Amino acid sequence: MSFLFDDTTKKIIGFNYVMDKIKVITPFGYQLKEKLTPYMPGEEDILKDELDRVETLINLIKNNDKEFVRIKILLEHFKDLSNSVKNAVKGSTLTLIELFEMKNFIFLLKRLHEEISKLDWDIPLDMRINRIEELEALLDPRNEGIMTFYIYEEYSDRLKEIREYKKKLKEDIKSEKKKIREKIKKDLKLNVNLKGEIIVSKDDTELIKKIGGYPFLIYSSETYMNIKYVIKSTPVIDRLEKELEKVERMEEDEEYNIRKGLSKEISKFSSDLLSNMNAIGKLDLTIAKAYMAIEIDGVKPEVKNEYSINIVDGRHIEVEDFLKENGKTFTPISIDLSEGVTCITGANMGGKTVTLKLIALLSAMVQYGLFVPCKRMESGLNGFIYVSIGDLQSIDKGLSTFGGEISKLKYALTKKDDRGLILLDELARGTNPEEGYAISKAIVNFLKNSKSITVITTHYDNIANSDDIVHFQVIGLANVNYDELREKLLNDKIDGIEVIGQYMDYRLKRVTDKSQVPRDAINIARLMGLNEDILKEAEEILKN
Amino acid sequence: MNLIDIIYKKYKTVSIVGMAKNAGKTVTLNKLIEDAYDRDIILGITSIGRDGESKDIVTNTEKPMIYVPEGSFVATLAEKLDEGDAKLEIIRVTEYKTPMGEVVVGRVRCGGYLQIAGPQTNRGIKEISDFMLSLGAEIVLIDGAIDRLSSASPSVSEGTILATGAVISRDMNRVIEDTVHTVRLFSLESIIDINDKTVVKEIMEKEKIGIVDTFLNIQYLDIKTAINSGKVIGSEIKEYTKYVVFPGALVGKTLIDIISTTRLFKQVEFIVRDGTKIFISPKEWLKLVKMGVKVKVLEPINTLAVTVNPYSPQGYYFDSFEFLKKMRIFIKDIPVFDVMLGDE
Repeated sequence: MSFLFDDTTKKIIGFNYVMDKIKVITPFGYQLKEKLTPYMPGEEDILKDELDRVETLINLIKNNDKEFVRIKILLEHFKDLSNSVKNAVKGSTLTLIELFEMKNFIFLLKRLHEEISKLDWDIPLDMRINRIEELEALLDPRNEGIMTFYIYEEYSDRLKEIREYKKKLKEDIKSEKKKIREKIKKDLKLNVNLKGEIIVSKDDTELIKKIGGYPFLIYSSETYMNIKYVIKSTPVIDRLEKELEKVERMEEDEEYNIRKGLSKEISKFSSDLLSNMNAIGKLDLTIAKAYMAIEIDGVKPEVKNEYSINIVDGRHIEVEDFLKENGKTFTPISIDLSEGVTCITGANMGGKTVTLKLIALLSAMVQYGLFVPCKRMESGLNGFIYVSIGDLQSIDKGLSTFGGEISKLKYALTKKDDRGLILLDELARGTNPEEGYAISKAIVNFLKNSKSITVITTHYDNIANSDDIVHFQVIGLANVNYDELREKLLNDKIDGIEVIGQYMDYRLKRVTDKSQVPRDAINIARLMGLNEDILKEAEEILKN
Repeated sequence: MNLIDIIYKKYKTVSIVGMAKNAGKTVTLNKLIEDAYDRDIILGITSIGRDGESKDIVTNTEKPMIYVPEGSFVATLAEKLDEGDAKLEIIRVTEYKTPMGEVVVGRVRCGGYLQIAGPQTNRGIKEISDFMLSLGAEIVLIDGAIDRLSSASPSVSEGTILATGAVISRDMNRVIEDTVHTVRLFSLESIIDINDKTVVKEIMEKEKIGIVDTFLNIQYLDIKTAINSGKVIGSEIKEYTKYVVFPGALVGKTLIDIISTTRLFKQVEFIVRDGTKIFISPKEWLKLVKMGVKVKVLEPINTLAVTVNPYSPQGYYFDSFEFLKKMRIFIKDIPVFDVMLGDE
């Protein structure tokens, strides 16, 4: 069993949504993010360090926003060259493009290093960017400081000689051909194109005849209407072109040798290159975490060794964003949890499920080294987080709601003393009320002395009806003036559910007096206009 | 006059599009490169997407490599670098990917043959062209995708050279007719009023067919494309309707269905993004225009020249002089060149 049980859990509690907000830029950051694992109990100190780093970065970003925009732009340009580096180590020769990319990488390192040096930041070792000056010099032999790459003559005298010779040969050929071109122009009044071709219409038989006996042009190809002639080689041009061909081959060989040499040089710095890639990844991910923390208005959680969870004004980011889009606000939720069982009761629509998701999400975020969306959060680390929420049923396996629930729950129960966070929504809701109550009560009793923190939401008040179980209730409509609300419903003729939603107080209240349990279900039914006789009778039944 | 004279110092980005495969697009491109070389004009050369074969599978004609002179800026593919003999200084490996690999921009250090290959999107092409201009290119030539006039879109280039040729039909008149039709569509009148333009642009961005009334209120129709939707559109045209805006393609059937549904079509202007979005045959088009259908564009295409190729790879050919002469009679206000023959 993994920390968050499975991917469905990650999705349901909104963890994937939060992870999507961590916007890494580099391939290295991306790889690191994909491999991210939670900090487990016993790793409190490393987690605190990580959170401190994020905190440091948040402060740096807030004070140096322009610098960070530049840093992000630089990060965008990094490509993953680890394969090129590994190939170079294996003795492969890097291609022109790979060498170009390497030069870019080296120069980007330099610029990123410069940019970071401007910040007042004692950067942790594993995020430190180190320039590789030897490679800067190697890949920029002319010290031009520009990021383009070419197999420069500076790499070898031989290449320089070859290229100079090649240039001379080309010029010689050009001037030889130019002589002929000019001669053709003079003799035949014809212009030779760049490729040394002349196209003549077949109609022009006189010209064709003339060209036939002309020493400097030779037939190349024809269409139905035209004949293409090219400049005929002279022995001089022939010799020059043969020589040029040879020199071009020599140039290729020499370029290969140079690339091979450069690759070997680069391979010597493989560990510097790879550790820089790791550092860029770590830096990128930590910056992304910091930006996310700022975006969600998060705070640094206080990590404790003892096992309890205390959330003040927590917000569920995904639900909050959804509400915001619809012009509504999220009511922050506070809750204290410790080992044993906590029950949350309250009417439908009271946000009990969201509360469970919020507890799961914020706890998971803490353990992934993220800032959390709340005013304050103290937390011990969970050995695992198990969530059973309505839509988790494994319908595809043909199991009933209840069966699906139990088949997963039994795994979690075997781990009850591994200080896990067990969150159960409407336990046994899929079965008949009497049995559901009995099973729920039994599971609660089973878990109440465990080393885990269990939170269950339920309709059955009696489950919470025990001194060793903490009972929270959604405040719901308890403080609402029903007459006023009913009036509003009648007058405005708007959707009742919408209005109730507006008046619903989603906050939690610790219940100590067991008799003071409000009957929100009856109240809601009354607001929605259910027959008063029925409601009266229901209240009678409850009294008995 | 050289083809390059039409462009130089007037336009910075020019696309070369072909009416069909083998209409002489590459010959035109070569001609421009040659002209520019003679005049020491620094070129940028890119293309819109390529299908990755050095041979044209359909007609089995060789897709030639392009001779790129020293000093020019080119877009190519990393994988294609070793195939040609031009030597490049690599300036940028772009984020644009094609099925054949990443697009690379370089400066030609030693002239030679090279496969030109650029991004596949208009936005990408625009970005690469601007990049080449920033590097010092005086003109960027954009080799349009084979058989895809859409490369002429004003969102890609300031001007367009249209290559047409015998390949279109064995009947010279038919070739001329199709070419004249395309040139006409390219130069359709555009909307001038700034407020109207804003509204039309808004509709184009929504990618939904929109109906605009004289008070510039927009009504969106919930149909994905205009195909088979003429009747629906027709029934929505009211007395105050000013424009019907098509964000995608406009086909003849749609217009025919509209005019058979409503008599109000004569007061309405039908708007497309540009002339490349209209797919209506010359005959049908003339009929519709005669009946009073008015089509306008959001962005006009600047057709700088038409080049003609009298040869078809199927083996037949036209008389060069006759073809050129006839084409010039029908296309008066735009210069026509036979790039096979050479300059005037």
